[in-house]
Amino acid sequence: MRKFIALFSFLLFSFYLYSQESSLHKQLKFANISYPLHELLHEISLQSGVEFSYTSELNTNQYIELPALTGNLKYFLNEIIDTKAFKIISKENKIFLVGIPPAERKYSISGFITDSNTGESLINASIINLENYTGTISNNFGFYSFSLPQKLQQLQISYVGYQDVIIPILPKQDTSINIALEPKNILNEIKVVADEKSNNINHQFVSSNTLTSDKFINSGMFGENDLFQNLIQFPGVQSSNEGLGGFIVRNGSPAQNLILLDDVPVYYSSHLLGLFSIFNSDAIKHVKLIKGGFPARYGGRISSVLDIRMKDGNTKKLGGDFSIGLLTAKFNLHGPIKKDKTTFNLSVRRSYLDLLVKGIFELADSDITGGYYFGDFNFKLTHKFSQRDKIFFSTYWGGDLIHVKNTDQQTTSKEKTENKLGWGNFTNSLRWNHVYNNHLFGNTSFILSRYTFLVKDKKWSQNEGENFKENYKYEFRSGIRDFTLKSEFDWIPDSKHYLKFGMETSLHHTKPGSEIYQNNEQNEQSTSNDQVISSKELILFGECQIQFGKNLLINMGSRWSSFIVEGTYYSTLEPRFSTQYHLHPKWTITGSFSQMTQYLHLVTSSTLSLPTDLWLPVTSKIKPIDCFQYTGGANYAFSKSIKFSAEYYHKLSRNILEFSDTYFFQNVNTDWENTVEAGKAWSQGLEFNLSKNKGKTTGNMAYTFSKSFVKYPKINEGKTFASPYDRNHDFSILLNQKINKKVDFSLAWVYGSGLPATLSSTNISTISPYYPENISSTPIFSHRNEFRLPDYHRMDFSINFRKFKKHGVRTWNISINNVYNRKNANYVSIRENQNQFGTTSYTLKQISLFAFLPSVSYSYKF
Amino acid sequence: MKFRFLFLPICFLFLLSSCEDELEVPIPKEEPKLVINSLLGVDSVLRVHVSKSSSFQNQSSNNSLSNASIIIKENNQLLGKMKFESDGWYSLNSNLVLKNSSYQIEVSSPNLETANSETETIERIDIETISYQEIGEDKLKFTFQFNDNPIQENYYMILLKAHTGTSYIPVDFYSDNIIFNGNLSENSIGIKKNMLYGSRTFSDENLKVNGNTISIYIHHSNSNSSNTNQEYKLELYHITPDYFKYERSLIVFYNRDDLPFYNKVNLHSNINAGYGIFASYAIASETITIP
Repeated sequence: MRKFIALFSFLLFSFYLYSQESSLHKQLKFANISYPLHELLHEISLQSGVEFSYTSELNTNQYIELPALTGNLKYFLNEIIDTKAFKIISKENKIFLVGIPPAERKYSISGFITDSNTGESLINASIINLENYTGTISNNFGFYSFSLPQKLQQLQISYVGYQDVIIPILPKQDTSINIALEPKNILNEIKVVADEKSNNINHQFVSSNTLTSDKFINSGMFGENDLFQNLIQFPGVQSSNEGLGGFIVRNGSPAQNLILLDDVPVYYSSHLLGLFSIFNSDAIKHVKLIKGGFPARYGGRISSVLDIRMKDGNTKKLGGDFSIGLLTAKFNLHGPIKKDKTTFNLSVRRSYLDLLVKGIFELADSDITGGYYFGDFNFKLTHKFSQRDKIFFSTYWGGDLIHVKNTDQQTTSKEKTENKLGWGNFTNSLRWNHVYNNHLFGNTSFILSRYTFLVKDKKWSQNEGENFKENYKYEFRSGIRDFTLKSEFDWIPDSKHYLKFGMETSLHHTKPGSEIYQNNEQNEQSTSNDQVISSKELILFGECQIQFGKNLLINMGSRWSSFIVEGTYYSTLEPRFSTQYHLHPKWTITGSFSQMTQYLHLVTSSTLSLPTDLWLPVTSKIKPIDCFQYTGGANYAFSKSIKFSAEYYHKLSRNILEFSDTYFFQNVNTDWENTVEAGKAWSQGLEFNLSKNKGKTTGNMAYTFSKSFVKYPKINEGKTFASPYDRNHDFSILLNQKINKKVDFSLAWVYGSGLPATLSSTNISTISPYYPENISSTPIFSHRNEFRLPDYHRMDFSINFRKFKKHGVRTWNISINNVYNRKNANYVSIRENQNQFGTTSYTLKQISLFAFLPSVSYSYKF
Repeated sequence: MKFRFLFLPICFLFLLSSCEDELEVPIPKEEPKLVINSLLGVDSVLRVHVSKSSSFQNQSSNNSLSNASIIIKENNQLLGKMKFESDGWYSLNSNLVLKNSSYQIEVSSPNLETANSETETIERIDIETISYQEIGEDKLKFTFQFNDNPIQENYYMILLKAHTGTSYIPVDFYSDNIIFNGNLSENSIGIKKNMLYGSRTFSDENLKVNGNTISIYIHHSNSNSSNTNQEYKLELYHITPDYFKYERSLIVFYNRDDLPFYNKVNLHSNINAGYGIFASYAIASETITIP
């Protein structure tokens, strides 16, 4: 009986709700498109039979333009009544239009935040309502949107390095406001804004750090403003081999870092075997490094995301700078093509060592000539069609080339050989920004990324009285090419919710290597075209950032990725979650969980960043890498400028690859699956960071304690061993001091405990494969990463002398790398020594690069 | 060796005031293991070299074992116990190695874990034709043919030896032939190739492209050209996959030894619970006299 009563009640209640709702679904038809409101309400009453009741606040004399002549009642009510000022309540056959008190009405404020001098959009600028300290931040294109109640309020817009702006505002309708911020005239202020927690704003900062390029310190070799060297000031980030071969984040390999240049993934990010990053600081506007708690919009690599944004170009006037250092010369020009509409930014960098070397060879009248150079070209074009539409085209070309020419003179003939080795990236992105309405922002990108590695060998011979004749030619090409279409949206319904969602589809073309071989002497010719490995990727993602009350901020989302390669299909659902809670105005605690999946493996054989490194997609045998990361942390603000943070991370990765003990190069391009072993890795660490980012003295101090292990069933007898990136202690300190407007200096010191190394420590007898009766002794290794290299530490110093001239600023920079000439071990090997009696002994030798290295550069900014 | 120009940037890095120091690094002690070395030639006597591994600190002049107990089987039938000769060598003179057979070996020695291995023997592949050609002033090119069985995966090794009057001595040779994939090319700058620079083994993977004609060349300076009638012997080894891997891993090991920053490579071994190699080959040879 009870069940019957409950069911009856439920049905009755449902019918009641339906009957209420059904009156709102009554179809209406109008003869005219325009009515005074009171007439319109009367007409609706006649057609639908509902009665209206409203307060005197409703201006019934206003004329209403109807959006259509037919539709249901609910549709028309939402169109003709200002729902931000009136609530529509339906009860039985009556509809009440109840006025909302002005203090409770909410209107959206949206627009772009830019630099007042250059017109460059500002990323992560904060907009705070000083009434209740709620707010938001601008996105990667400078767009912001949030809601305000209808009353006079103070809005504070701030960005580190810029004057705060306070705008009094009384919103009466949804409003679009573009805000230009004035840069502060403080030299050498480090813009580390990651730990700038103007708390309560809708700004997620779990496990991330942000850096702007104009304040890079000259920490690279030869005084270069190298991006990767600047990143190592952050906790959890270290260089892999004294600046060679990228950077390591939370014990992950450099190949596990997703590097995006204006949304384009960059596959090979170094010049000169990893000594310099390919990113020219002149072209960079903003860099964000995410180490954990990854938002759902990022994916494809498991360790970190480095999101680099290029400068758009000055919208007001033509400007630029040039500089010349010991190794490179750089030039940058930017400005408007059409004022406030179309801008460009052009940056060129080239090393000129090859020109010097060539001159030396020519002076010496040498038979051999050769050289090496690298260069970068960045170009960005931005056009603003309207307040709502903007289009960006950015391109990057960069490459390295080694070439050697040799002429061999014989009595009656001559032989000439030429060898070339080149590699480089070519990236393009075409992006369209559209503001659909005050709450919805969209970005659609078409992306092309290409990496090519090329070898060319040629031989010519010349007999007496004849011309040179080509008799040998060999060419090898490999690389990867990506085509991507991406569409993403920011939907900001109110100040407590921020949603991002989108889709991405990519086509990867991997070319493991094609060869052309031609030998005219032997009349041989062959072309071995590799089979292009085509893989397709489809991604859907969605994330929602929600503010609960004043203290809790949560970002949760998910990324669904699918990957198809040669009949093999993988699909992964990657959940993401991060949160921050303000315990106290000065205290914040954070936590996150994220799963990341990587479908491309880097096949490499060196600790250097070599151009022969090959990105290969997963196969039916080689599975994608999965990584699960948990973080938990706390942040404390001593003052507005001094912040402290501590964060713990725990990572588990599976299907990571390692070359087997006895791999060797035998068609690695095609047989690589058989030369690698899949295994597991787990890391944990504790990071501390103390920073001061305002005033004449600024700086950063970071310490990381971490442990990282790997295990492969068929390597090291299946036993667990230290990962190659297991640096237990990592400490860095950076100090910037502004002496006056003209002089400032920076001092950086890094310390890291020794990385693991594999050394041959066992001697065995080996038989000659050519003479089976010959036996000799060969050192081999029996365990992986059993040794520790000596601790690493280094101090760098850099000082700038500026002179303000009529048309610009001239700067002399003097830098010293490795001030106290520390001999850090870059490589350790075992050497065999034989004494005069033929007795063999072995010693360990270390090779150190980059001892005390001073450099000077000159630059002029106009 | 011109291929080293490839490492111009590496040399450049070293020029940046690199330096070398001797290090004090604690080296963990390791338990010794058995080391078995045997390359069985078809129609040859069964010979095995047995020693033990030694850790880095415990260098001793001789790790050869004289007290090992070695059991060898042919097609899983016991052939007998091998006899100690000298310097770690053991043999079984009563038996020659048969083609297309399997051999099993088990070695034990006091205080060491017993090690074992197995290999299959293969057939000899004959050289069909051989010719030579003098190119320019200092090059002597040899061209030869043989019949490769396209159905199975085969591995080969070539050795060229010059007769000195009393014996044959090995001669360095080069080749631009695609089967060597640049390993023997004098002017190659490919990084991968140079890891295998000097390897004389090859697989039949590329033979299908060029047929089975192979050309190699030597420089006169290498060929002892003062002798008016110089005799050369070309040896074609048909080798097992383990032999191929062993030769290549040894080459990579030594080539990489002087190149820093490369990941470590170990020697290929097919010995269970020990180190070393147990593989086989079948050899065919032709001699040619240059007037």
